[in-house]
Amino acid sequence: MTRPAGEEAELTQAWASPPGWRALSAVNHRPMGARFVVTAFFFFTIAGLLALLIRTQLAVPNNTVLGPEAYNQVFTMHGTMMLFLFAVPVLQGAATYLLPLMLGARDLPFPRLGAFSFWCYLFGGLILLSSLVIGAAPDAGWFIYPPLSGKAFSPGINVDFWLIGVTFAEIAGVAGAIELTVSILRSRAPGMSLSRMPLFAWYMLATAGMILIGFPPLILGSILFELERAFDWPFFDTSRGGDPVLWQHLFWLFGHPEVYIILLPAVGLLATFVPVHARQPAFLHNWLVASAIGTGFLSMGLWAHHMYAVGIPQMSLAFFSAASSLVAIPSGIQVFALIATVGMGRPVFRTPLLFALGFVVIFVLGGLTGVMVSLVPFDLVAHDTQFVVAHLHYVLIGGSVFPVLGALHHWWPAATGRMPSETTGKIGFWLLFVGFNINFMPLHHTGLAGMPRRVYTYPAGLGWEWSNLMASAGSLMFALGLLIFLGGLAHAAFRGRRTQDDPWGAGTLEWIATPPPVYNFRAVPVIESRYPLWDQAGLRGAVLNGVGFMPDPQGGRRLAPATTEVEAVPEMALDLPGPTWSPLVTAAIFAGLFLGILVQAYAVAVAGAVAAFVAVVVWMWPSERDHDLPREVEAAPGLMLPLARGHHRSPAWTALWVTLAADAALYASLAFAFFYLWGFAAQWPPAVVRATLSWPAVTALLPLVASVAAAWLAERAIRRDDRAGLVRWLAVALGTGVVFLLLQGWAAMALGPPSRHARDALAHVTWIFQAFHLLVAMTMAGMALARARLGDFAPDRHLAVRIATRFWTYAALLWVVGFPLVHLAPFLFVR
Amino acid sequence: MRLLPLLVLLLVAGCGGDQSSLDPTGPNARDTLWLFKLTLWVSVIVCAMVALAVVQAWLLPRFRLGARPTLWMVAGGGVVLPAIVLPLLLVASLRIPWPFAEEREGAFTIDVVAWQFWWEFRYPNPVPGGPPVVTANELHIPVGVPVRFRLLTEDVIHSFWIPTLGGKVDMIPGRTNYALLRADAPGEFRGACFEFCGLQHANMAFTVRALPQAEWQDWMWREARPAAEPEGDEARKGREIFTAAGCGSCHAVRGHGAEGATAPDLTHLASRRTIGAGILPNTRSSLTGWIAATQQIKPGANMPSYNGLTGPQLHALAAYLEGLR
Repeated sequence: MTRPAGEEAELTQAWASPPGWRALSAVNHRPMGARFVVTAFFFFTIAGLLALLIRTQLAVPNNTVLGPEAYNQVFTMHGTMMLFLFAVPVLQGAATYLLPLMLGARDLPFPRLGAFSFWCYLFGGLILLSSLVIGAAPDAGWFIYPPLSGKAFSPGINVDFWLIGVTFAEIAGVAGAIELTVSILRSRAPGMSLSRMPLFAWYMLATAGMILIGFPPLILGSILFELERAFDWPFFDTSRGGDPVLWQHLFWLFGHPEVYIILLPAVGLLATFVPVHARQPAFLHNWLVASAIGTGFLSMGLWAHHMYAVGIPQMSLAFFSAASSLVAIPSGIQVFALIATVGMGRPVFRTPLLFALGFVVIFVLGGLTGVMVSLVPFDLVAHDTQFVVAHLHYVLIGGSVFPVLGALHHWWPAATGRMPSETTGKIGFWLLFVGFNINFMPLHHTGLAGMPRRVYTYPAGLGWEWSNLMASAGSLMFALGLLIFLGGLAHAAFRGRRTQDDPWGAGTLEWIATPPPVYNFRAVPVIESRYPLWDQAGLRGAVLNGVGFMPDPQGGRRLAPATTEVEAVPEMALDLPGPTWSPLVTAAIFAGLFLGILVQAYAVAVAGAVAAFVAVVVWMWPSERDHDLPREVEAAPGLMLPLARGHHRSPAWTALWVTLAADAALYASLAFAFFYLWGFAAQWPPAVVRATLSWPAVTALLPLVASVAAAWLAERAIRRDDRAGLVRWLAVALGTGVVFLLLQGWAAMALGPPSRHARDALAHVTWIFQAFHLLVAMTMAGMALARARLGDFAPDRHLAVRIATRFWTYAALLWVVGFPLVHLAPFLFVR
Repeated sequence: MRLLPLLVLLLVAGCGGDQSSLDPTGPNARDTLWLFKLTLWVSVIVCAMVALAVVQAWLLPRFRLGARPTLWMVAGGGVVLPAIVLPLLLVASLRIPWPFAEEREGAFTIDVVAWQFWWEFRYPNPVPGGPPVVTANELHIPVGVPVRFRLLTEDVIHSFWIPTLGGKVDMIPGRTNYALLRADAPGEFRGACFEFCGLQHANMAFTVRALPQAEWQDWMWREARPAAEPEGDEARKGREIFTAAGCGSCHAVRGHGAEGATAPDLTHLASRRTIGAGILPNTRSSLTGWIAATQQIKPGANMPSYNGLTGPQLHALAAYLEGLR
């Protein structure tokens, strides 16, 4: 069975990105993934140079290379950039690049969202970096505790750069997590059931789940903080019902999952490349999966172990201490299972296995000091000393940087088609490994000997001199190792030996063609094993000859199968968007909006918000009318699959629920802030707040309920093929929605001014949050209404209506929590 | 395996500095050091196990294990070992009395107030009903009895830690935290701020002097007295400059009409060994240098540089301050 001549060229043309500067409109996952990784290493280089500045300053006592102001900016930016602009994005980039290839997919299910995520990350990073250029970088530490970072003690723009830049990068992270979750659940090759899914995909699934739940608390915290800094809404001000410790909770609700968000994908990379070089399937595959998921769950319950010294009740301390040490179990399983994979296999000791060894040694040491600091009495010694600096670098460099470098070496041929040098790889590794330990091992001692972290200078005579000097020497060695390792890779990209397919003899799909063509797979294969290239004889030949799903682009469409979540049964045909400027333009508009907020040019910010709204509507507006689209596509000879676009179970449907989960986490963080302040802050219950219930607030409930009912009636109408009914009920929903907004806005005017008390500020945030969600739902419904009038939708194809209805209902349900918080809580304040 | 160097380091550095948690003088610090050593030994055992597995896997390519022994290795190292060791460590850590101790009524209480970037210590007046005895950057405690510290801050978050005595506790606006610490032997130690608090976080240390009961009582009585009258012309001139330059609007000198309450109390400045929160020895040249160039020595401190004063004026001022014993 041979495929028609010219089909391959057609495929290439369908999937090609435009050349030259227009390549910026590309949305394919591989250019996006590569841009992510390259950008992440750009920020890594800068943050690394900042680290060298830190070590230069601390090499000897009473040094004066940096003054206190410069030093505080340098260490804050080092931490902020490493965590927000390197550690998470580099792994998101690796996943963007590798996951579709591993899963047997041609691209991510939402290529434009992936591109948008990259541009947000880049612009957020550049905004943050620009602060360093103008000498006004954030200087309050990477967790910017108020009140030091509040307006009173940090009046400059420095902290605003942090809040805006980091929030932008966080939004990119959440967008990426939505994309990756849906990709893993819905775009696996047919037959790749969850039990056959590569370990990296499992790890990314757990990671994406953690991002969806873990990033929103910080996004919320940053919004509250910027409101406090810009408009004096007192969330963290003790004199007006706020509490600086609320920020610590919100920050670490994000910050602890963050550590595992960085660690898990890196372990996932290891669990994927170690078996290749050990020539042995990953040992205890299911244990690894369970450990990854278990770590994800545990990581949500540990945040307070960064706050032992705050003075929280002893019972809670004991709980957090126990939960924290519990993480040792899944971590131990993963480390030992990786060692066992090598120990059972017939390993070939190339550079990637060396980095795996580096991971094991360094991460185990970091884990052991982690168990130490999970014990409250010891943490009260180690906390905020150089011991913690040593601990966190063991965990993060061992747990993330070493695996990432090993992964770069391993997948370099897949990306560039050329072999990396084993010589520079091995020399680089040993310099990195030895340099790292010389740098950070002594700092354990320095910390126990009483040296604080975040000090720009220290006196002689306290026993800290030799260890600091040693650390600084080690940092130079580490930097040299990086230079050699990355230089070797860069050289190999242009001058390396050309590789043939699958140079390492790997078992997963990304090695079918090395490097893969733009469409990834000539045809999407059916998968029967965890290591298809090892177990399915003739698979490579079949794929390269176009045997499988969607070998034919059918008129230049970017086709790929979408499958079911668990069993990966082919369900429908994705028809993915090609190059478009929408993501770049929308992200640029958001950047303008954020810059407007940053420099307090609120007219610019408002214009940006309007422009962003327009850009999103333009983006979401479908490029083709429903009746111009084929209803079904031939997915394989004799197999017709419905087109995913508009289908009621399209991946967009999955994406809706994933997005709502993240949004619910954001709202839960807001409710947490409210109850936390109510329970723990001074000046509560607020003496200034009177318990009154205005009639517009109560009356507004009626149109809200009516609008939800109208939305559902609209959906029922189109299911019965009643287009006029659809239009009518959507219009009713929009009308009642407007009435709700007007009444609630009126009721809000009766609330106290937001700068009066934290409770008033939270009430305003809550109702604005509500209004924003209803506006989003109304936009969805408005677009559906416009499309209905143009003839879109059918009884079996009205996804946009279904999504609008669900979102509308969700938005209304928020008010079940929001209404009591805003309007009823004052009745419960005990005086 | 790589912990051996750390062990060696610990032995070498047993002498430590006077700000080292490795030189405990109080029960909390001693218990915690014991806990650390316990976890260190556990770590050595874990490292040895990992090392064995790594050697087999990476260095002995001919010696391969079957699935069953390997399963036991993973289950043993990843599940069984932590399931036994972690609860033991947790119980061991819970047995150590934590320093937070607000319930401990009756203990002698010293208020510690943190300011950017110095420390204020307020003692109950030895005369019942008298105003608190206020001093700065030098803490005196009696040996052998638990002292309760009431921890407050006047601005941002700071953290109070005397490594030789016990664990650190944060000082947070709007909250009152307590720490209960005891020194078992007389001596001089160093404490510092351990929560990043701004530009001069690095230069926010204090001296702790643990004194035998009787000596400490004497010190308290001395400290409760108003400032000594200046002796000699230069010192008297210094006092006039002190008043004219407005020093008293921030600093207090009890008995000399200076009642400022936002900077270190100078009533007995001359009895302190250091100035500027532990950064300079208390000498004539330090005093004149500090007054004239505060912002060069400690940029970001809340005291301006008095660089308009002439040399003789600075010396007179220093002479006055040197008389405040």
